[in-house]
Amino acid sequence: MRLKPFIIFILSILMSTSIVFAKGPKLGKSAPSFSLQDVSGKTHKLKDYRGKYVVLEWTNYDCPFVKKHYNSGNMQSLQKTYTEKDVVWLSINSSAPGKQGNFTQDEITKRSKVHGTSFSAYLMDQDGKVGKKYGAKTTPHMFVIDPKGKLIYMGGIDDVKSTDVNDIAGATNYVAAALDAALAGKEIVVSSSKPYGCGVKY
Amino acid sequence: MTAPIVTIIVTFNNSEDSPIIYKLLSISLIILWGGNLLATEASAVSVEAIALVGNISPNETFDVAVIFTMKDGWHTYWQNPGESGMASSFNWKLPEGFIVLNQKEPVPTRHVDDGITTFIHEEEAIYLFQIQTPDQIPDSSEFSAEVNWLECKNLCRPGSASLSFSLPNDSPAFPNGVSEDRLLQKAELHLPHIQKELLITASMRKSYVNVRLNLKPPDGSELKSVEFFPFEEMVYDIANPVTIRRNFWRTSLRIPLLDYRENDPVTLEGVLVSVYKTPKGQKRIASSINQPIQ
Repeated sequence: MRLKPFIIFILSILMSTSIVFAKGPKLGKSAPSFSLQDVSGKTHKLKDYRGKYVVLEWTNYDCPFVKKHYNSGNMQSLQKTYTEKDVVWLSINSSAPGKQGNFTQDEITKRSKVHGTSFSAYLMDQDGKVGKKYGAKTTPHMFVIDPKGKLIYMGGIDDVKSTDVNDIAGATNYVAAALDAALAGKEIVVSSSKPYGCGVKY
Repeated sequence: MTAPIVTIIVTFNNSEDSPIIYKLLSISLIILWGGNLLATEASAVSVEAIALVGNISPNETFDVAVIFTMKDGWHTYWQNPGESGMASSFNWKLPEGFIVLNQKEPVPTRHVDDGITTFIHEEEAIYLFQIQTPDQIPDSSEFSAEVNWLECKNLCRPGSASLSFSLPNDSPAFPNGVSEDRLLQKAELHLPHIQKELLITASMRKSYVNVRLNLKPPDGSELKSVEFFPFEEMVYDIANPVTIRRNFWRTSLRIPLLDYRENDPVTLEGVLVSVYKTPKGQKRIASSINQPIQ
């Protein structure tokens, strides 16, 4: 009987350390499940989108790397292109209250409208649980999930690590390449890359 | 900082006595407040380039120090920034025939924020560039560099500077009267060094690189911890610590690898920082590592 509190203590330590930062998902394996609310309060579960390709985009409108892709229209263009092909595009904000990128719902709606976004939903992850579950490190940090729920791409949006809008034209967009290949039934050439950007403000 | 000034403006605007004077005061304070806002937007990092020579001759090398000075709490990133951030970059425009032979960067600090590990520079970082002169040099040579960096505290923002200097320079301006020798010494103090006695072998394991060290700790000291700053990105698991293993003969290190690394490393390249406990306190030794992995 005396062992019980000790075992509970050890288990709680193990659980707490694993929650702090999980190693993240693995390519070819099931993407971690989640349930998050969008800015209007609607709940989105990953399993609701089984049967479709899903893009997860970690975002922070005040991060200069995110600004690069929104001020140029690059991110919106990707969102529009692929949501028109029935891909579900979920932008996720894991900025904690009081930190950079954490906005009120009104502010997010306003900013998203100004940017002319075409995502399927903008999800709130203020406690960072989903971000940490995915090992999201930067904004942007991109994940692509196939219709079976398996992770088929994770990493950076492209191969030029900069905040310069002028670099977009010459960059190889890994997300577009992964989606194009997957939608055409072809093999994804680059299925992981180093994400670049600001640290997620957990 | 701005809130009390705003309050004063409101008080003055509401006053009905001597309206012109109060309006003028209000305008002045609004200008001051605006200035404060502009100052808030200004870069938290200043960068300057200083040639560590007054004159140059053909077929020789000379050093240029590029000094980053950061405001309290702000940082920039090392050549491998870690899990987020961006390395500082330098685009040199040199006179014809001049070339940059090498770039030396100070040892970074490991920084963990919200579970995200990065390699950063804080307060001051002095980069050294070694420049080779050609066979023939003009009477006066203009050198310039476009420098780009990412500066972060609670938020991140890009910074840039256009630096230039000319040589020969009759009146070299050293910061705060520091001589070129002292500036060079100061820079070298924070650079990694090649330790001849640090003979190592590195071998590949499934989830880590095993490193055998033949290092002799300074007298009376004990190796307490080791940090490894790899040049390669997406290979090593920088979020996890290097572990030290000891036997009778040698000390070995386990440098963890990423589960989802892009490829296995062929060479162990980076900076190894060994921290010793000595009778006089802690001693840090930073060594450049470039070792084939068996």
